[in-house]
Amino acid sequence: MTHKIISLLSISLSLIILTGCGGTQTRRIDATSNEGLVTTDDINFKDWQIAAEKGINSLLESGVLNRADGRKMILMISTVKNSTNEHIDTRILTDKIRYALLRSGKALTTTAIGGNGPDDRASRQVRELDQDDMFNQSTVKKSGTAIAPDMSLSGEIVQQQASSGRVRESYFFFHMALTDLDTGLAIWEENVEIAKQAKKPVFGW
Amino acid sequence: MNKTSLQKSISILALLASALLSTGCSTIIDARKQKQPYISSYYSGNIDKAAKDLTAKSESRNDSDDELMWRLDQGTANFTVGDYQQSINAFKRCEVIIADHDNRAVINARAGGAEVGAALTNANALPYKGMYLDKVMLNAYKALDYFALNDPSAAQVELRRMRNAQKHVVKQFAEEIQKNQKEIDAQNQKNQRQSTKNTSISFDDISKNPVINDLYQSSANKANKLYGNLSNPFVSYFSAIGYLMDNNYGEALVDFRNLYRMLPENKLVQQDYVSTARKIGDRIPNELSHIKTYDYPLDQKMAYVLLFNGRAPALKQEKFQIILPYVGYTGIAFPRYEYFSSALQGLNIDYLYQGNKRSVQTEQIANFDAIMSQEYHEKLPGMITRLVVSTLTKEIASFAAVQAARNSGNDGAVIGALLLTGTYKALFNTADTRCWETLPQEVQIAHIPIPDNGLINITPLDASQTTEIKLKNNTNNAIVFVRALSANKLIYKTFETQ
Repeated sequence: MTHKIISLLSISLSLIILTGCGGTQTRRIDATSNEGLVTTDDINFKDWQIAAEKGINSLLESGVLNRADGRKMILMISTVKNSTNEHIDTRILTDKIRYALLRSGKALTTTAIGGNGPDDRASRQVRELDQDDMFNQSTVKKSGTAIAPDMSLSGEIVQQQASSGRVRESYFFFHMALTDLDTGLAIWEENVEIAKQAKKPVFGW
Repeated sequence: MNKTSLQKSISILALLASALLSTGCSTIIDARKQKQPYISSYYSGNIDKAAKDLTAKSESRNDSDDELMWRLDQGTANFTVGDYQQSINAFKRCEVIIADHDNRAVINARAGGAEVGAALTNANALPYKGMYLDKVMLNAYKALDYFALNDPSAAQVELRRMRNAQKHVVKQFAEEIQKNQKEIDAQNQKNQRQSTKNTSISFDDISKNPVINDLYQSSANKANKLYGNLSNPFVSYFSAIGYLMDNNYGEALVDFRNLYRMLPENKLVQQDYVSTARKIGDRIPNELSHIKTYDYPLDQKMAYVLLFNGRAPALKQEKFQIILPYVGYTGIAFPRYEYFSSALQGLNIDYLYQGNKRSVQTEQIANFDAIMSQEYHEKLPGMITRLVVSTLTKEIASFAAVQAARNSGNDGAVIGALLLTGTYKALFNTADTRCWETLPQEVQIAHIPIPDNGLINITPLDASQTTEIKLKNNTNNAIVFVRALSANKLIYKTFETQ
């Protein structure tokens, strides 16, 4: 009987240890490090960073943003099509690129127009004040002063999944393109590929 | 009763109590009975109550082995009632549960524990992981939810997941059948080692039983072999709609080609196939060369009418009698599909296009009786054999317990052992009737160009009452979703994308 009680206690103790005793532990991690979670089916923050970094470097090195007249290129952010199996916010990619372009000093981006509508509706809203007596009309922004974009940045993210036995993998294909709005021609394109694999353990909880 | 017998009886009682506690309600009361009031509310048209009650019930079953079953019905009920975000949340939870099972280690402690529970009780002790159809249809419903929320981009994500799930179920299914057979063989061997009689059981032996033979034959008749490999034609059609909305005729053609293989006589599929193939200059089969193409583009200004008609088959508990070693005749509870008649014959759609009055009728694209019966039929030999082997395992254990009591020479112990083992066997002789009960019996589809005046008049073929749908002026594509819960309970929804 004593043996049985000891066995039962041992099993219970093992179970408690296995299932964990404390609450959830939360900590900050460095967003530029490799500490983040890596999941097979999702685009993790590091994947966005890799895709954006490669895209930005390629775009800046391509020279397509250099103008002979010294004026900065005006870019509009068009759409990045999500063709993955996950609900993702493609803004993470485009916002990273527009931020880097602004810092490079070679281009400016417009927020007055965008593929999914303007990022900032204010440019249009303030011009609608020309009928509003409340405002000093000499301070109201005039029509015909906003600068139209020269180029548009667009893209697509495609995902393919495969599995065999215990192994599952995802392949993400990021495609980015810059279109010259005068000619409609793509003057720069870049592809970034990210592949991730996960293997199910043989034994586990 | 002597001290040893008393200890044994207490041990059995403790075992029973812990089995009961760990395996949940469905091990004793079959799922169909548990869900009856909720499903009754749903099909009688009291969908608000059904959605509310199923949501509350699902919450109360959080983290239980039955949670997936409740969540699936919660998802459809909330979709039907128009609470799309709640529906998405329920289906997301389903995905989490399914992924959790899929990602577990090959040999894991939780599965081992559940198997022990199932061996002690019945298959309801195993977590409900969903039928193969469930895994595909939940993404189809999520896509409809997102279309309803005017988020076509998110709907496209769900359509891709749906296609992916469809691809995977075939593979997973073959693996499951193989795994089940291995488990049956192992249990047969184990029983044989503990017994002096021949206890090895195969489906060939069991299928001589008239009830099982009838079950096997009738499920084969219901299953439509043409669909093949658990394919769901609605999934292929919905996938094609998604591609066409995305202006992707090439991929839509792949779906229509597959649909033509599954439904060669279907006029809608034939014309879709031919129109899509001609649009991109692909070749068409000779036998379809006489089919005319549509006089409107399929990738824009389209309205699809989806009729989700009637009630999908639901599993119910039945018993069959079989002669087993040690016990002779015994009744074993098993799940069998109950089929329901369709609510409507179809829908007639009237509209105005290019100044002319036009009319079209919906056509059956998917028969869920056939799809669900096919999965059931394929699983039947393994399921029934497993049930019989499991019953025999319990009988051998009961026999040993009663024999031990007899050897003690105490009549009280013998009566106690007989009472306990008898109660135990009767209590847990429950069939696993867990399934998704709010799916339709069939899906019928028609499509039309967006009418000149945006008006679509829909009349059930077996009724005279017409419902007028008015589309917005700037609508690019529309899905008119009709849920026929019964002949008199029709729910109309319109999802428009600009």
